[in-house]
Amino acid sequence: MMKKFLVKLMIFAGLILLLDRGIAALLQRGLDRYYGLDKRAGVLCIGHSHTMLGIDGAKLEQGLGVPVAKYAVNGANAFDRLAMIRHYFAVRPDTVRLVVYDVDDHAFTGAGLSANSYRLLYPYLETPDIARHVRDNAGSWKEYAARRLLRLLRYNSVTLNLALRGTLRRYDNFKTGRVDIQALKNEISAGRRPPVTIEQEMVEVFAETVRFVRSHHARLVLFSIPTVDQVNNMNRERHEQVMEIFRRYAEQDPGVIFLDYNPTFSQHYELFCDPIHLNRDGQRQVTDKAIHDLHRLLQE
Amino acid sequence: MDVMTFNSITYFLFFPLLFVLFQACRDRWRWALLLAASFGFYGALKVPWLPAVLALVILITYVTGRGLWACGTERGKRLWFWTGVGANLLILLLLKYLPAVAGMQTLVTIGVSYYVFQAISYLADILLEIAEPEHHLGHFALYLSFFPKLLQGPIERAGHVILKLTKPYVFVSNMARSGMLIFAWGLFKKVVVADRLALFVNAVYGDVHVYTGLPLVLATWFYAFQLYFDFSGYTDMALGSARLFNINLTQNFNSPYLATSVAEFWRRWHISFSRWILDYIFKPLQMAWRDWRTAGTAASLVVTFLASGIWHGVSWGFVVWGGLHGVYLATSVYYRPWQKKIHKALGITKSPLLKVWQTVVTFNLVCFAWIFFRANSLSDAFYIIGNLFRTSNTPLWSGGFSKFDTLVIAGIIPVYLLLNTPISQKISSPVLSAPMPLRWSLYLLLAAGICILYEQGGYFLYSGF
Repeated sequence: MMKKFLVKLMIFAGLILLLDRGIAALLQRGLDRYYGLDKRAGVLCIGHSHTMLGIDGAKLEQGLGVPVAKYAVNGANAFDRLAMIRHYFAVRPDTVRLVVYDVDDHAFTGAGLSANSYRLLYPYLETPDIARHVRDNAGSWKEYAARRLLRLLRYNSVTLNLALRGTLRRYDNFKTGRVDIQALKNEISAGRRPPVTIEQEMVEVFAETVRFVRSHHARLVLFSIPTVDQVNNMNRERHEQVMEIFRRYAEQDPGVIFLDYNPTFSQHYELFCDPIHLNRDGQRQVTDKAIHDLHRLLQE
Repeated sequence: MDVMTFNSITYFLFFPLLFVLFQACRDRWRWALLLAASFGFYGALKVPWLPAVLALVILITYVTGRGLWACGTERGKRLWFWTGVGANLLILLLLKYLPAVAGMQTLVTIGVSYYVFQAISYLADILLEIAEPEHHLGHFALYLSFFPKLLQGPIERAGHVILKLTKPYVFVSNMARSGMLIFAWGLFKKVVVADRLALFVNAVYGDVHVYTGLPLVLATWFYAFQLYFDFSGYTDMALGSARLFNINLTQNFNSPYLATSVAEFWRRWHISFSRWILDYIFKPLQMAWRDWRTAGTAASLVVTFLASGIWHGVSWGFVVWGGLHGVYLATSVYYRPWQKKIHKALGITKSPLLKVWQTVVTFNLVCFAWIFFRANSLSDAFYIIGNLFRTSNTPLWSGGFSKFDTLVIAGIIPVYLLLNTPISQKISSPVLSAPMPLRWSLYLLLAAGICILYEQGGYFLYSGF
């Protein structure tokens, strides 16, 4: 009886693995489509939620007349983004002409964005760059090993949602609503906003990212998607220090361009759904301006 | 804390290995293997003093139990009894309450309450001559430490479990099959439902002053289900694990939110704990205050549930929660007889609408009390109560709880409630004895659902009590 039970158990385990691989392959395809990993993109947008909500990828693609991949993951820090860029270039080595990399005050802040942002890259564990990055950040070997074995464990609500959207070809991602400026002012006075810091480790990984992109003969646009001016002014000196780092890169390398949309948009509170993210209207206007500016760059 | 709980990867390595060793082991040493595994399981919490506390409770209870039985005089028996109970309670009080009262860092006391309660019930059963003491120290140690019930119960009576733990083992495929299915279902309840609901609940209860109106109401209802799915999920995993060793542990939940009164709720929620406080706190008090008649019963209920609240932790929220339930039950002692007469006079005793109404009212009374249980402070609880019915101007989907999560919850909870009504339980039996292709399809669907929809959550909520 025990032997029969064990045989059934092994057959069942085999079926689970088959089902796991099958469903994961479908989800992977959807996710690839959502992130633009299934196309030979000429423009690669890399970033976190600022890019997710700030840029309309489909509109940008239509406006530029060039395939655009919007590979943005919530909370992605500089380490995540370098892994993402390496990943894209490994998959599509010769197509990218322009990398649009979103930058903000917290580009060099180590903690704070999301300590677990690497988990959103789990679906790509099969690619060496992502696997290495995840291994370096995973809480324990068990966490990593379980996801190597069972591919469905690599997905969570966020990536599942995106994979389904990719499958259904629904690429729009926007929020409605308006930022509550008074609430923001109260938050700032109460010291509840995260501070801006510049950490050497983050500066170095950013430098490595610039080197990597430039070594692949692509131009790099450091795109400061606007945030509400109250946030920028919270620690004006530090904000300027961070922006100055980006300006210096642009000055030293003609292949690096710094686009700062804060002066144009950061006082237009009606364009923001929260202090650091654009709403639908904001996305539309920023994307329109980005089409104009990036089009000029693609022509050069 | 990277610990081995039922929903951890370490457990999925530990359990199959243990099961294989158990099958390979000689029958006469299986108890020793399970005992070692149980202490290993407890030690994997990485809290060094916990296994030592468990060993101490085992020794104290074993020695006082045998002394109690062997003693010839009534006075001597009571002395042994109170020595054993007193020592166990002292351990619990020192570990659980002294640090909080003395302003020190609170200690991790996972499982201590549960095996101390079992130790007390063991001694009481010997004193009342309901059961004889276990003479084999190893077998007794296994009863108290058996790992599926170690951290969060169920609180088992010795007579029920010791015999089964030490009976010669014969592999029964139906037990193994049902054990695995119950375990998988419990895992689904915990990692897909409870941990997903926690996203919303933690976002709202973590910063209540940002919210008014509907988010507060939803967070409270969601918490009711989060707690249920978390705790009953744990229980299912415990029951499932034990079944693989041919041990049937006590069911701890019986669709509690379908109760039509608070009294019935407590017959369906955390059943082993309810029975324990009924037998060892309420009944002795009721007996002592029997001269006060109804008032005595009401007072016993209030005191019993205040004690229950205090057991959950050193916080006014728990005390108020317990007190509320005590008040609910105490007032029902007075109004129930009148209520029954009125229903009978109106001819609505068996009315389905009445049952629905009573279920909804009971659920909301319980949820009202949960506000105090969950809120970070009494002032947060009062803020929530004062703002439940105001209009809301904050987005519902926040703190990581997305529309996708809403869809998952909206799909699961009604189906689960439906599956637990008496009518549907008549339908479910044919499904469970369905042909193998259908059964296996359902199993695969459950496994895939767990893998795809799981939320990377935290510890089990009731392990903190």
